[in-house]
Amino acid sequence: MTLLTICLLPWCAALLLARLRSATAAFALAGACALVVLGLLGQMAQAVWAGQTLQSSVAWLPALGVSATLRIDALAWLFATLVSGIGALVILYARYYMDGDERLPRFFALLCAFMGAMLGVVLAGDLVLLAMFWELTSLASFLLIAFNAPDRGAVRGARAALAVTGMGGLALMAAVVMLGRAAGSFDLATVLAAGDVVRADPRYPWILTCFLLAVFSKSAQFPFQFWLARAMAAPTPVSAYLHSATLVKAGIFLLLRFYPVLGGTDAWFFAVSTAGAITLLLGGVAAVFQHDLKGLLAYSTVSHLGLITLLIGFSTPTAIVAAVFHVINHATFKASLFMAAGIVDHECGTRDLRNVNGMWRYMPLTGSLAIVAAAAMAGVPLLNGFLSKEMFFGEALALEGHDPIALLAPLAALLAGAAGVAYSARFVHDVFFNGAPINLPRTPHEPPLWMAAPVAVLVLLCLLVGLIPTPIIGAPLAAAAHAALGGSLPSYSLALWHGFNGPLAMSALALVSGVGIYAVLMRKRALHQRPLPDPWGYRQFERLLLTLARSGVVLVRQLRGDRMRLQMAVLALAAVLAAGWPLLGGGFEAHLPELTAAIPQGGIIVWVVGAVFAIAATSARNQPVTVLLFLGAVGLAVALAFAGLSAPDLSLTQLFVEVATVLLLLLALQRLPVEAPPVRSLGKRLRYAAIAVAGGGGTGWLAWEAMLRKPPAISDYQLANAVSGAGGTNAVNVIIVDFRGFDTLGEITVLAAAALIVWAFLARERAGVLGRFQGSFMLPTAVKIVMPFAALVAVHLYLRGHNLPGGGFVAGLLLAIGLVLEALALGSWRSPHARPVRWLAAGLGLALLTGAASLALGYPFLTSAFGHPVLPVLGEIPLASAALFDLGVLAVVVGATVMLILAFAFGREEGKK
Amino acid sequence: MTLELMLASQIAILVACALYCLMRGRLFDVIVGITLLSYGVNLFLFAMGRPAPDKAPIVPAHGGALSPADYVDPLPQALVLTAIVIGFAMTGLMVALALRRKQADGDDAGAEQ
Amino acid sequence: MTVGSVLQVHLAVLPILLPLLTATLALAWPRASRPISLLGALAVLAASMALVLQAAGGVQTVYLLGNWQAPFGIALMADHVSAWALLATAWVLFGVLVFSIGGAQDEGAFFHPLFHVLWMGVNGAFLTADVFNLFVFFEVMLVGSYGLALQGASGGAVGASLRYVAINLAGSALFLIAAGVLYGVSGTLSFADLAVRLPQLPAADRPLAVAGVGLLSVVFLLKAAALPLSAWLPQTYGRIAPVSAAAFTLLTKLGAYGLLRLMTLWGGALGDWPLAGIVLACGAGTLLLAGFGALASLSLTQVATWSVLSSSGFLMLVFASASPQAAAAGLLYLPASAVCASALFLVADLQRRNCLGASRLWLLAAAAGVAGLPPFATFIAKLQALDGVLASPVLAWMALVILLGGLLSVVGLARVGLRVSNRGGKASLSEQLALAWLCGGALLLSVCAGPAQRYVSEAVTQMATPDAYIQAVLGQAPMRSVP
Repeated sequence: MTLLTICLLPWCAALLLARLRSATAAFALAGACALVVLGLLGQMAQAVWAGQTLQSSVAWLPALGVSATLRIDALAWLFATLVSGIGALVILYARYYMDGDERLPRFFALLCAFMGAMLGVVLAGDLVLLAMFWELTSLASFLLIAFNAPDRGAVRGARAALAVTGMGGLALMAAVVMLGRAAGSFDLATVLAAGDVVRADPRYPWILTCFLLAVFSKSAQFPFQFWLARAMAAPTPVSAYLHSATLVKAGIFLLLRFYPVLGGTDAWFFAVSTAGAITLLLGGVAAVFQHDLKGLLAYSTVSHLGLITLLIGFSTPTAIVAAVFHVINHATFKASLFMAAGIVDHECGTRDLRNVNGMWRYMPLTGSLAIVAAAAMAGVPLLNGFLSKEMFFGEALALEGHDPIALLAPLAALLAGAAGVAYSARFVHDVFFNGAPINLPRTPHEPPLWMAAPVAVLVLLCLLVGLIPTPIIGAPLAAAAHAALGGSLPSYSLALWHGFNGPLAMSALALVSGVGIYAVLMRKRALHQRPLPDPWGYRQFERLLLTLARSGVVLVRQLRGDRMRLQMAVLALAAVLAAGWPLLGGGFEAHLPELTAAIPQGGIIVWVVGAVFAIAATSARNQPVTVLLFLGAVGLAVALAFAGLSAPDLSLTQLFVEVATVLLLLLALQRLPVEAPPVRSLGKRLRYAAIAVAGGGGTGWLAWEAMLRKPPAISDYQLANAVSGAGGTNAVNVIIVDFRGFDTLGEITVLAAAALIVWAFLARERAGVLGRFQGSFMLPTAVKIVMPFAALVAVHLYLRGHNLPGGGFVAGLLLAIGLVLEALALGSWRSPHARPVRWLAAGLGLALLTGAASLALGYPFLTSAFGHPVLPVLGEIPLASAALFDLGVLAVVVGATVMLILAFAFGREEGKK
Repeated sequence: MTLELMLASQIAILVACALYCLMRGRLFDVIVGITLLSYGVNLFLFAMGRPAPDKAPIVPAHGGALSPADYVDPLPQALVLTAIVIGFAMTGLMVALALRRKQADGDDAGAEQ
Repeated sequence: MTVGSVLQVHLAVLPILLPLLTATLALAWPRASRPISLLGALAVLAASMALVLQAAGGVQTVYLLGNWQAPFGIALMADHVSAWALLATAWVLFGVLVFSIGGAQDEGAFFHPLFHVLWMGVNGAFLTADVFNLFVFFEVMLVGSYGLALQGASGGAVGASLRYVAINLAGSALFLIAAGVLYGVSGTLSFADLAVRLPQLPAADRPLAVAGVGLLSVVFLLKAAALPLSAWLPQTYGRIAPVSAAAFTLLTKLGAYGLLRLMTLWGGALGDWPLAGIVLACGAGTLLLAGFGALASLSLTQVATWSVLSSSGFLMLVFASASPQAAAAGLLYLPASAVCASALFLVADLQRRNCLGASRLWLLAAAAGVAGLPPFATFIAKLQALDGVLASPVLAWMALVILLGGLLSVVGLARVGLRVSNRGGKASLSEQLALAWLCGGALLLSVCAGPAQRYVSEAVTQMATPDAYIQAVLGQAPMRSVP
C-alpha cells in the first residue's frame, strides 16, 4: 500500500498541478508531495536496510504473465530516496529560480510527473512495468527540455534527447521481452534469480545488446553522450535534477539492477567497461574546454557517468560497491554545482565562462558552497568525492586477468582524475576569481537565502559523508550494494585514511597534474580563446536525422498520390499479378466440359457494336459529346446483350440507367469544357496500353475460364423456393427484395447518400431557374402528355415486378426521368412533384419499416410475408410484404435520380459565379 | 465462335479500353473510363451466371418441382442490378466532383499534376 | 415479449439498422438533426457494447436476414473480432461526432445523415458474412466517407477527394470481379460456405479460386493502403478537413480486418500461394514508409495521416505473422491506435482553428498514444506484439521493423509537436470532452488490459478455428415459428 502511494502520489500531484494557477499553491503541493514520499521512504528504511524486500502486486495482464508489481529493496530504496530527496530540494530551488514565471505550476507538474516516472522505474517489480515507466521518464525529460519550446536550442535539445532515449526505450522493450522469455517470467524477482539460465540462453547476446543500447542511451554513454550536452537547454533546476542526479542515473540503476542477471560475462566486461572508459575520458577532456558553465558541468556529468559505468564493467564486488557509492556522491555534489551554476546564471544573466569572472566579490556564500562542491567533484580529501574516487583508483589498480585493459585501466583512471581536477579548477577559478566580470547584463549579488539553502544542504552532505562516512552512509550503502550484487557483500572500508598506498598516490598525482594542466592551459587566459571542441556525435546525429527526413520527403514524393494515372496503373498491375500468377501457374490441363450455349440472333451485331464503340470512345481526339454518344451506344449494346441472354430485368434497368446517365452527362458537359489531352511519348503510351491489354485480357480470361464451369450454386435453392418461400415468380426480383434484400437496402442507401452529396455539393451554384428551356412551347406540352403515361407505366412495372420483369428500380427510374423532364420543361427545379429529399427519407423509412415489421413478430429483419388474396373484380392479387419494401426502393430511386440529374441541370452559367 | 468466347472477348475489350482511359489521367477520360469499366464489370458478373438465350428466370407460378437447368442463374443478375444502380450513383458523384473541381481552380488537367 | 428481449434477439443487426434509422430521421427532420444524431449515436454505441459483452460471454451471434438459411440468404456474424471492431468504430465515431457538434462543424449540408451512413457502412462491413454484401457495405461506407470528405471542401480538397473517389471506384470494380470469380467457381457467396467449398474444388478449378481470393486480397490491400497501393491515403487524409479524417481512421482497419478474415477462413484453399508472406511484406513496407513519412511531415495533419498508415501496416504485419500472440496484440492495437489517431486529427483541427494553445495536453496525450508510449494501450499492444514475434526466430526481423517504424514515428511526432505554438485560445468544453473520451478510451484499454487481453486472445483462438465459424453460420437454423 505504501509502495502504491509512493508511486501514485507524484502523478496525482502532477494532474492537480496542471490545473493550478497560483505559484505558491503549486509550490506547496509539489513540495508536500516530495516530502511525503521521502517520509514514507524513511519509514521503510530500517526494514529495507535489514535486507527485506517489500512487494505489492496487482494482476494486470494475465495473458502476458505480467502483473503490476511494485517492489522495494535496498538498491531501489537508495535510488528512490535520491529521487525524492533531491526532488524536494530542486522544488524549493525552482520556486525562487523561476520566481514570477506564470508557467511555474506547469513546471512543477512536469517535475512531479517525472518524479513519478522515475520512482516507477526504480520501484517496478515487473519488467514490463519497468519498460513502461522508463518510456515515461524519457517523455518527461523531453517535455522538460522543451519547456522553453519556441527557443531553438530547446527544440533541438528536446528532439535529440527524445530520439536517443526513445531509441533506447524501444531497445529496452525488445530486451525486456527477450529477457522475460529467457527467464520464463516478467517478474523481477524471478528474473533476478534466473541469471544462470539467462546467461546460457542463445538469445543472451541479443538481450545484452538491446539492454546496453537502452542503458547507454539513457546514461549518455559513448556514442550517445551528445544528447546530454544539448539537454542543458532545459531550465537549470531540470539540469540539476534530471540531467545530473536522477534521470541519467536510471541507466546506471538498470546496470546495477541487472548485474546479477546479465553481468559477469566477458561480453559484459568488454562492452560495459569499454563504453565507460571512452565516456570517462571523452567527457573529462571535453569538460575542460567548454565555455558554457552548464556545458562544463554536463560534460563532467558524462565523465562521471562513464566512471560509474566503468566500475560496473569491472564486475568485481568491490567495484560494484564503489559504483553505488559514487552514484550517491555524484548526485549530491553535481546537483549542488548545477544549482550554484543556476544562481550565477540567474544573477548575472549569462553563464559564459569568458564573461562570468570574479564572482567571489559579489557572492561569497554561493562561492564558498560551490568551491566545496567542486572540490568534492575533483576528489579532494575530506570530501565524499575523494572516497569514491579512491575506491575507483583502487579498482583500476587491482584489475587483473584482462591483459591490455589491466594495463590501460589505471592509466585511464589517472588521466580522467587529472581531467576532473582540471575542469573543477576551471569552474572555481574562472567563475569566482580570474579577474573581474566582463560585460554582464546586470550587477550580480547574493541570491535569496532560500535559493542557496538547497545548495547548502547538499554541500553539507558532501562534507559529512567525506568526514564521517560510516555513520552517515554506511548502512544504506552496504544494503544497496548487497542488493545490487545479489549475493554476499565483499569486505571494504569506508575509512578516510588507508595509509600510503597506490590509490592515494594516484589521487595526489591527479590533483597535482590536474591543477598543473589547468594552469598551463589558462595562462594569459589562453583557454578563453580556444574554440569549442567539436561536439562529436551531435553533428553526426543531426546529419542522420536530416538525411532520414530528406529521404522521407523523397520517398513520399515518389509515392505522391496526385498522379492518378500511376495509382491506377499500380492497382491494375497488382490485380493482374494476383490473378495471373495462379492462372499461369497452373493446372488447366484437365479436360473441362464444354458448356456452350447457342448464340442468340443478332448476337454478332451487338458484339461488333459494343466493341467498335468502346474502342472509338477511347480515342482522345473526339469531341466529348461524341464520346458520350459512343458510350451510350456501348450501353445500349450491353442492354441488348442482357435482353438476348435471358435477363429482361437487367436489360430494362440498363436501358433506363443509360438514359439517365446520358442525360446527366449531357447536362454536366455544358459546363465542363474538356481540354486537349496531354501529349505523351509513344513509349509511355505503349506501356500503359500494355497494362490495359493485360488487365482487359486477364479479365476476359477469367470470365472465359469461369464460364466453362458449372458448380452447383446457391441460386438453385433460390429458384426452387421463389414461389413457395417468397411468393414471387420473377426469381431475380425475389432475390433482390427478399433473399438478398439486405443488399438492396445498402444499395438504396448508397444511391440516396450519393444523391444527397451531389445535391448539397452543387447547391451553392443552383440558381433555381434554368434559362435554356424557357420559352419553349413544345417541351412543356409534350411533357404534359407524356408524364401521366410515364407514371402509369411505372406503376405497372412496379406492380408486376415480383412476378415478371419490372420492379421498384425500373419503375423508379422511369418515374424519375419523367419528373426530370417535367422540371426541365417547367424551367424550375421547384417542380411540384420533385421534392426529392422527401422522397429519399420516405423511401428509406418505408424500406426500414417494412423490414422491421417482422421484428415485432419475432422474425429476423426483412423476413417477408405474402399471400394471394382474391378480391372481387380484380381477381387474385399477389401481395407480398416484399412489395412494400420494393415501394421504398422505388421512392429512393425516384428521389435520388431526380436529385442527381437536376443538380446538374440548374447550375449557374459559367462566369457568373 | 461460341457465346462464351463472345462474352469473354467483349469483357476483355471493355475492360482494356476502360483501363487505358483511366490511365490517361485526364479528368474527362477518368469519367469515360469508369463508365466503360462498369459496363465491363457488369457483363463479367452477368457472365458468371452462364447466360444463354431463352431461359429467363421466371418460374411457373404454381408449378411444383422445377429443374434449375431450364433457367439461367438469377443470382448474378440480381448482383448486376445492384451494381448498375451503385454505378449510376457513383458516376453522378464523380461528375459532380469534376464539375466542382473545374470551378474551384478552372483546371481540368488537375488530375495530372 | 418485452422490448428488451426483442432488442437482444436482433442485437446483431442493430449496429447497421440504427445508423440507417438515424440517418433517415435526421434527413426527414433536419432541424432536429443534432439531437437525433446524438441519440442515434448513443444507441449504436450501446448496441456495440452489448455485442462485445455478448461475445465475451462466449456467444457467436449469427443473424439470418430475411430468415433464410445460410448460405441462401445473407447472414451476419457477430463474433469476438467483429464485435470488437464495432466497439472501436463506435468509440471513435461517437467522439468525432461530439467534437463536430461542439465546434459547430456539423453545419454542412446533410452532415448527420452522411455521418451515420458512414457508420452504417463500417458496421455492416465488420458484421457481414457474405462477399457481395461486404461489397455493398464497402460502398455504403465509401459513399459516407465521400460525403464527409467533401464537407465544406474547396480547391485542393475537392481534387484530393476526386482522386480518392476515382481510385476507390476502380477498387470497387475489382471487388466485383473478385466476387464474380468466387461465385463463378464455387457457386456461393457466403464466407462460411466458401470456406467449405473452396478446399473441395477439383484441382482444375483451384487456380481460378486462388485468382478470386487473390483479387479480393488486392482490394483489401488497397483499402488498407498497403505499400504499393498506399498513395491514395496521405493525399486524401492530409487534405480534407481534419474532422472528417478523424472519422476515417477505422476505414483502413477494415482492409486489415478483411485480410485477417480472408487468411483465416480461406487460407487453407490457397495451396502454396503465399498470401500471408505478401501481406507480411506489404505490412512491413507500409510501416517503414509511414515512419519515413512521419519524419518528413511538416504539420500535425500530415503526421496524423502517416500514423494511420503506420497502424495499418502494423496490423497487416501482425495479422499475417502467424503468431497468435502478435495477432492478439494487433486486435488490442486496433481500437487504441484508431482512437489516438482520431484524437490527433481533432487536435490538428484545433490547431487549424487556433484553439490549441491552451489545450496542448491533448496534443501530448494523442501523440503519445499514436507513438505507442505508455500509459496508452498502444504501448502494451506493441510490447505484446514484440513478445509474439520474438518468440520465433523466423519472425524476429519483424521486431526490428516494428521498433524502427515506431522510432521514426516518435521522432516525426516530436518534430512536428515541437513546432506547435503555445499561443491561441482554448477548445470548447464539448471538444475537450470528445478528446477526453478518445484518449481516455486508449487509457481505459490499458488499465483494463487484463480483461481486454483475455477477450482478444479468445478472439484469436476463435479465428484460428474457422470450423466453429463455419458451423455457426451454416448451422444456424431459421426460425420456424414465433418464439
